[in-house]
Amino acid sequence: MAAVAARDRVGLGWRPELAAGIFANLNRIDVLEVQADDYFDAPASQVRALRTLARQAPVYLHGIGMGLASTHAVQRKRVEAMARLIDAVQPCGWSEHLAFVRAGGMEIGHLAAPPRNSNTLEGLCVNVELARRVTGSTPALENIATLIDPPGSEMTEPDWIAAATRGADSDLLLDLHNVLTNATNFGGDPYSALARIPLDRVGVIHISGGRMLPSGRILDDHLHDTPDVVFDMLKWVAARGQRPLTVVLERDGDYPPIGALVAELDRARLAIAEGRCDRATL
Amino acid sequence: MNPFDWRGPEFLVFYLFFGLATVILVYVAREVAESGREAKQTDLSEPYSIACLRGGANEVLRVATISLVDRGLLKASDDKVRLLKENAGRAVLQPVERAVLDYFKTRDDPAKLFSDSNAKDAGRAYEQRLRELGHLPDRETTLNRLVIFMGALAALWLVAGIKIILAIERGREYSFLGILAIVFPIVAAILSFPWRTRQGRRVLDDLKMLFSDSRQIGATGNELLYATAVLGVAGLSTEHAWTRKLFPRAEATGISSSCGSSCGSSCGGGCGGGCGGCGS
Repeated sequence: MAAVAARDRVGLGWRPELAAGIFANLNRIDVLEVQADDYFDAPASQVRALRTLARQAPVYLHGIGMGLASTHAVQRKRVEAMARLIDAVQPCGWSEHLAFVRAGGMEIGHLAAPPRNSNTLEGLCVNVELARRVTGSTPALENIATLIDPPGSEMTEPDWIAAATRGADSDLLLDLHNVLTNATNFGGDPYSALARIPLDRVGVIHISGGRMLPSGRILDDHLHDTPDVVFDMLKWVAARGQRPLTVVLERDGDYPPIGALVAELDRARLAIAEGRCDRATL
Repeated sequence: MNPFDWRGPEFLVFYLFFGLATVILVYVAREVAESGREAKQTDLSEPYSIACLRGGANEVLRVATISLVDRGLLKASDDKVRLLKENAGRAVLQPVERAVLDYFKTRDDPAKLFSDSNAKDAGRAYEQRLRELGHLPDRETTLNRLVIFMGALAALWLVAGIKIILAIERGREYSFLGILAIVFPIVAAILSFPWRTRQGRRVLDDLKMLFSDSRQIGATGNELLYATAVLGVAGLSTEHAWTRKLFPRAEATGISSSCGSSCGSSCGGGCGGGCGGCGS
């Protein structure tokens, strides 16, 4: 992994559609997060292009298809593909989701919330250990959004996140919009959830926007602007967390002008700064 | 088994293979030599440097003109350009942009911009920077290339020369061999002296790969500047069709990345409308 100075950073998810806008604003983008799975089977020329990108700005690799949070063993070929990509790109870190994506030999096609119980926890720890052994580094684990409270759960989500990161000895990639989504969808308070999440393990944060469904639930589609409450949550975390934060704005489509995305980054930067200022008074 | 004793057609086949082997060797030798000289850094923060890497000084002028029109400092009407504000030079920082604005103070033909010495010098400044970075050949690289080319030329002409002398002594035909002895050195020269170094070519390929799906709808300012620098006029979407009216030759020739050699080494400064068909 590439060594980087310890400071708060704010960046954007790399999307090929935004390439020109991102290059035009690299002085305001501290870090780029790349969807790793897109490059697992890519030709060498694409991986080399990604390496060139990583020389312009620190790159963070984000996996979506391992399915670490599962009683099923992670597919070794996926971990090996990630290891090759890490070797080629030299990112400043990598992450995966606290989710399962396949079961019974079938691909689900999306990130599914696993049963929050000791069996899943055990499977997760085994899978993360394999990932650590093969790649030489530990993935940060991201909390996911869900519309369904996973059956078979024995723990609340914050307790599950705390147990998962502690058990796997991993950092947490804290997705604030996912915290908001789950709190809204299941009648909770996002700040109560944040208060029970181990902030000492939070090094990377995702911010994004979704849309409110007619049912009153939130769909975390990454197609909308980041709502005000997520920036408030970011400030809350920055005020209480002790570690340098890397904040990444996720946008997966319906792209606004690049200026609007960069303005969101500036807002995130401001929220962190305000949170850091508030820390002294807490 | 002495090939010089072979009959004309047999020797021609031999020379054909010999020539092909030689030019392949030239290509491989240059690639290997340049792979050992990594670029000092890959700084892509300057879009005009990217434009220069793609198509030389003329491309820098082309991209600068498009950017200045986009930013409202120049006004484009079909294939003519005029200055919108007399003091527009104060609004720009880049010397090349100032040089382009100076040009359009008194003229309106973008095609003749490429023969304006002041503008051309401003565009060429980026070539110097790219040489320092190892993306364009510096003196040492050019010398290495020359050594490789001269070696190939010596081999090609020595073999052909011996056979031609023998053919003259024996009163045989040698014109086909003479043609091959001209064609192969030309091919060897093209392969020996590309516009970019291996590193420069790779960086440009990487950029094109990264920008291949970049959206251009609504792109203005620096976003459009980067898109034009990497993709060229021909790579812009129809939303920016006005750029094609300004530089029709660039559109027609498709801004080839492989034309750099003719831009840099053959066209030099005199291709008017855009390095001929090169970076235009």
